Amino acid sequence: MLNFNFFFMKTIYKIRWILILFSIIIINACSEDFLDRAPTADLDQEKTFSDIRLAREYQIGLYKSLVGGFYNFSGDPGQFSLEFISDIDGHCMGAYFNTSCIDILAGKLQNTSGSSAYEVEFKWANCYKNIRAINIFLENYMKVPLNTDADQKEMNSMVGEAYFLRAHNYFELVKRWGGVPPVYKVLTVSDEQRIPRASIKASIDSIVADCDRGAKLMDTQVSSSQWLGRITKGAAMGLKARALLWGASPYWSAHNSGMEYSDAAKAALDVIDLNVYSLMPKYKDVFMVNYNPEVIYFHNDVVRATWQFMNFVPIPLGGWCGGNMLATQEFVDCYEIKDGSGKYVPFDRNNPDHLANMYNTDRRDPRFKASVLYNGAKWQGLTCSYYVGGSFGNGYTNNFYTGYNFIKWLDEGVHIGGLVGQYGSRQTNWIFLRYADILLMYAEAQNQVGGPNSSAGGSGKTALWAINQVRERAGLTDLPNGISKEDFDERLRNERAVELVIEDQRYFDVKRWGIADVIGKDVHQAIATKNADGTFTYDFSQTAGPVRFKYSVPDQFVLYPIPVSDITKNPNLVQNPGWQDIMRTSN
Amino acid sequence: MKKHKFNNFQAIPILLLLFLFESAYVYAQSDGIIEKRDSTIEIGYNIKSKTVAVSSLKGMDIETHATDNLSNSLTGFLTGVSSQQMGGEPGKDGSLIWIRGFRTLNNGYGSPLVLIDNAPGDYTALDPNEIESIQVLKDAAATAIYGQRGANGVILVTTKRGVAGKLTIKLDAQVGMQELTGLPNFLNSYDYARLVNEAKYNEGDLLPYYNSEILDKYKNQTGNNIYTNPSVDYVGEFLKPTAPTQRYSLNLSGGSETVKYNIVLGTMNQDGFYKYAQNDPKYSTNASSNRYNLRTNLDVQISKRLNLKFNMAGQLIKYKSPYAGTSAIWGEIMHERPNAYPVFTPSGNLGGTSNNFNNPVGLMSRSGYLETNDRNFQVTGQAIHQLDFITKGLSVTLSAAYNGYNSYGLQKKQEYAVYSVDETLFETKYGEDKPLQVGTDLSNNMNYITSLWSSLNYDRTFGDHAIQASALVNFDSKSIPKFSPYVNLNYGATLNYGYLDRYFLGGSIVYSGSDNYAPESRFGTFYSISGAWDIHKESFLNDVDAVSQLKVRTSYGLTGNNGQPSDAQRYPYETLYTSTWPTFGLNPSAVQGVTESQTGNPFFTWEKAKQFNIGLDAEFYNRIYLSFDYFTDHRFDILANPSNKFPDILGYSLSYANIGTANTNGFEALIGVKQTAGDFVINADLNASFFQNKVVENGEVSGLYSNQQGIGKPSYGNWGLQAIGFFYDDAEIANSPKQEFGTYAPGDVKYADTNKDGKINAQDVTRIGGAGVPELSTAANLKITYKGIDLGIQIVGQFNRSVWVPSEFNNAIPNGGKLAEDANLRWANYIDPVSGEAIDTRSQAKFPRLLTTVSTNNTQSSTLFVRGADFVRIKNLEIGYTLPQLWLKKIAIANVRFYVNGYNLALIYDELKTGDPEYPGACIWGYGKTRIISVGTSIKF
Repeated sequence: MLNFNFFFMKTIYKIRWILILFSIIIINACSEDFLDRAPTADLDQEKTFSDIRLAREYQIGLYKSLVGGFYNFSGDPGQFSLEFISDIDGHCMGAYFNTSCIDILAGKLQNTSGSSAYEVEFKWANCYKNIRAINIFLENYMKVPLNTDADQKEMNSMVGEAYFLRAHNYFELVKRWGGVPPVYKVLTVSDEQRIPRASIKASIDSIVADCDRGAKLMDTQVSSSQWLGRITKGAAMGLKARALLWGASPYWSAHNSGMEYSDAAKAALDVIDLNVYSLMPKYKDVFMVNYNPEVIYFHNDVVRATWQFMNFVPIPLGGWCGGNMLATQEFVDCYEIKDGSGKYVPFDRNNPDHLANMYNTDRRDPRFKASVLYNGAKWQGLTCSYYVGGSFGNGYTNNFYTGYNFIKWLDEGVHIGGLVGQYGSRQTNWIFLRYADILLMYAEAQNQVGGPNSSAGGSGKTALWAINQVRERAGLTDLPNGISKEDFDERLRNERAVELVIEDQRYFDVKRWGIADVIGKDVHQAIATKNADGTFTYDFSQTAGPVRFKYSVPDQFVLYPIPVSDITKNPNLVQNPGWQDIMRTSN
Repeated sequence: MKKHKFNNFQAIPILLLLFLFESAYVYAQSDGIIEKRDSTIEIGYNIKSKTVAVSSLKGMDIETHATDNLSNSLTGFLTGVSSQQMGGEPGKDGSLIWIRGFRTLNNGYGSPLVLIDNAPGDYTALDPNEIESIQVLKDAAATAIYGQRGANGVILVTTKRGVAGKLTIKLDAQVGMQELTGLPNFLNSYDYARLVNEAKYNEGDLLPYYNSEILDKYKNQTGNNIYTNPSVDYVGEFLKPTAPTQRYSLNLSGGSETVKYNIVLGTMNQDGFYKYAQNDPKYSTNASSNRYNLRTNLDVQISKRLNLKFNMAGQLIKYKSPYAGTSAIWGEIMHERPNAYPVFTPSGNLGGTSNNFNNPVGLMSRSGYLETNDRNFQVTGQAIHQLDFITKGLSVTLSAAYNGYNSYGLQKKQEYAVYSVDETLFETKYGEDKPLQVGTDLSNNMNYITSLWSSLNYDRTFGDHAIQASALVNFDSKSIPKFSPYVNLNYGATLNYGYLDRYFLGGSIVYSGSDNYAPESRFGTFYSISGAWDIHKESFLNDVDAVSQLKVRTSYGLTGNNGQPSDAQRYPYETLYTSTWPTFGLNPSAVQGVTESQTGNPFFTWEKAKQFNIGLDAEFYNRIYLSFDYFTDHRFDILANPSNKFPDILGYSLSYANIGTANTNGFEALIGVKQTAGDFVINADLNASFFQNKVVENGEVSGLYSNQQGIGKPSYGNWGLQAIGFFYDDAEIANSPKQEFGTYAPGDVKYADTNKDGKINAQDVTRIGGAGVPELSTAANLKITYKGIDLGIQIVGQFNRSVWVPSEFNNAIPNGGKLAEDANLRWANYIDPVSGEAIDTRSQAKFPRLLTTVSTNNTQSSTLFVRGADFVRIKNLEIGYTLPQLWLKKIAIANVRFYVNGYNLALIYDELKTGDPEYPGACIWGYGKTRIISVGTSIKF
């Protein structure tokens, strides 16, 4: 033993220098964090959900998934509403405008590398990207330490908002594709990704469930005016009504959704009974006054330079619109006209009296003047001369070939026109949902449940009452009391077209009503010729714009194709009817 | 998370335990041990093995090479190495090197790990006289200890050390001449103009674009014609036929048993070809590279047991070029029309036009200059301690190295005027001549690599049993300011066991980590097992005199490659966040939120290779030797774009994931002879290295036509169509599948309907190659000495390769450029509007009809541009004469040798026949390739 110890000591002594050096190397090479990267300022998930301030920042980031219709197709503001590819509301022409619109009109929805990719491929991928970000929040928020009641209250609301945002993104998918793969957890590359599609009912039920969870957690008002733009209880309840109505609508009930109008009517009535929202007295003010009591949820946007709206403004008025974003004659025909008895009745172009007073704003639905520029209209002191030889010109090849522009989102008080750099600017929030829409949803659903004079749950608020609220605000006369269920439905559909124009509703309404093939029908121009006496003669025979694609399968009008690239990766995804799954790419 | 981390302090007790265990064990049986030495191969870090596949060369074989870049000298000597020299710019004329070919996916990291004296560094700028040997480690048995960086092979550069004895002084001087090779021959203005007329005719212009009067002026370059209608020979006008290069080096070596030294001082100067580079007598703007090398390698025997090695080396390099830059100058020379402008106007001004200031005289001499100064500096300290007092054969090595790199670039810009000349010789000035501007920073880069390693080696024989065992820890860290350092850390062990000196078994295992991966998965285990059988030592071969050596080897192992594609993000496991600004509030304002900008992939890991090798080394009659190795390399977990694997519902996309797989196999063979016959000493060998790479999985989308699939094909090379000729006439067009690349007519390129779908479009592309990587690299080396005369020749052949040939070699008219002589091989069928001559080249055409505008049909990526480029060339040739010693003794000189040699001397076989087959694009996109012929002397005192 002694011997060994002696040997050991001697050895250690002999190699003392080497041991010292060796230790230095080992210690240097092997210090604990040797392979850790140098500290960075970057966040990680652990950090994010360890502090309510960081969690709030993350939750705020989720609001980037609530993007208004002004950003359709390109992601840039001031672009195109989906309205311009619906059946009648608007029209666009020419490849120099957003080719995404044109491609959809031309039926090129499945062109994986084409420009319709924004509305098909990008929308699909982007919604799932948003859903993932929201799922991360919903899986982690409970880790955030909450020290005060105020923190707890704020967190409740933030969680509720997140549920709502998830429902909103799913509904964007459902509107376009029907039932979609449900992803309600954060997926990683190692998780099963071959998730089959849920049925339309299951998809909507999930949306409704998120809305219910959200509604429970949120207040009806934001905590302070600095947070205007955050989601409130009413939005969740309203989206629920919209989703339920979607599933009960004719196309989907014909496709076995198994959903009931009564649920939609009840959900809409719940919003009405919240007594938080009311109609603005003036129709135009709904769009001009931000944060008004009619708006249920919206995209709170920065103050925009007016140029971002210049695509709405015709060139002769100093804007940039030269053929894109026009209204059609079919849409203008939707505005009712006052008859001799003072009642507003559907406009009939074949009625000489109606025709003679087509642009008589004393007789047309006042919303016409508020929404559309027409031959002879005045705008910022200028007269719009949409006639052959006039400053706007007219005729098939002309920029303003339909004879109409839209001004619904424009403020006449902001000086639009003049030289570049002298434009005014104003904030204009995109409205996703407003009280008038809720009233019309209720009217539509309740009429289907029990006819115009029925009311949900014995509330006494009839379908007729609801639609007349909207009509009265617009300045129209009420629908007659004895109107039939069918007539009521027809007038209601017209009411929605007029009231909600350029709010991205018509494009989807025609899809859920199962009348989407009207999207393929021709629309017409109003070609005005000035007579010697200063009056005008109108020719409505010319169809407007590029030839619209006639889908061979009716379902193709309603449902987008699922991006084929995803189908090849997920064989469990069943393509929508009418679409094929061919994709070959070149290297 | 913490518990998965390697607890680094565990290493100390482990290694100390190893010490103690070994000492206790060996102490117990310290007698009766016979020390026996055998030739073994070092595979780095003083670790030895007998079962590895390694090729090596000696520094003295390459130290007189006319090329100065060491990467060029590996070609032909080392089996398993394939290379491609990419150009001839001074100081930047090195070669791309692949070991055992290209074995990963196309944009993967395929470069080998390079270590100089066991420390990471760049060997290409070393002076050849500094080199003792270069070893290429090829199989897993040799590279497994390199862990995450072993899979692409390892190049070990060892520098020369002093030998005990009296001072030896060696002086080398070499002066050479560079010559450009592989430049296209361009047509003069007359021939150019006639073909432009033809191109216009092909486009329907029946009247000549250049009429006979103008053509006559191009033809008669006399009087005013040289100004009004010039015909400029750009190559002859702007590039000198030769450019000098020179290299001197002084080597001092010697020492005692206690201190040995080897000192190398070297300088190299390589000049460029620019004819006009001296506008201002005070400075030249010619391209050049000046290098100074310094190395001191010291060995100090501190005690009987402790040996210190100390290396200090530095390289000072200055690169110069005109401000306009290499690619602009070469682009202009190789592209500009001969009739664009006269070089000089009648009054001696620079020719040009209102929108063409590219006169190469201006670009070369009046645009200012760029100057980059590199300062590299390497220090290595190493201590080897014999621990034979613990047990015989035990030693420990500790080493630390620092490798610093600084580069500062300066730019000085200058502007100049050009003048156009009209028919009356009136000159119009454009731009202004201005003085040289104040210099500004061009670049300012620095990085440094620190590395530390230690190995414990045990090498001992017990009777019939021989053991060589090592334990290793090494790490290195490359720091670049503003970035996280690149760090690697390995813990390894190897064991070699030999029985009866005939049967050998080897094994290595390494626990290897790097900083790029998630903390819990930074380390991986790599290993190899190997065996060898020295048949020659078997009794049944004892009496067979013919066989003087016969050994078979085999190995199998797992190695790694943590190099990433150049566009791959570091730390891909990290989820990164970025600010996003949604708007809230009554007075709306953007409020800061955060959102993911990169979603981390926690499964991200390194590429792996399962490598198998079987080899044979033999020698017959002590003269003929041969060596053969067959290998397979199965790569998996290769980084590839996974977008075709993960559906959008995943909610995020990854640019890379470990989804690729590729298989490579190949062989290396070498047969040589050493023969002495009278005064003749002959050394000759013939070697070949072959590899074939196939993609097994690359993440491509499913449902492609088989021709479009990358799977089953080599991972590298271009995609393109198969050009199968030119449409003879309208009838042929009518009878052929429709081509969907724009309009076409007779004389345009006809493509194969590869996928047989009746139309020709992007879906007909297939891998057409063009990457320049040879599948088969061969070389013949011959060295004969007769008395004082020596002759060395190296012939290198590369086969199964193809390259991309730029359009400058046949038709650059559509891009505003000139024509090379290959344009004469175009398809033509017309009557010359000027001469009335009928021209019909349809049956022998090699290129499509000429056009003045870009034809999208003819410019598709196709086999028209990617062409086979096998070649055989005399890479190196050297003839030397060593003066008889008798003469020298009197003047105290030990040895004097004079020699003349050449590099890239001549092509023996050239499949391409256009430009330099190794890389024809060099002179178009960069700086032309060179041949170097030099004379030198080497004097030893």
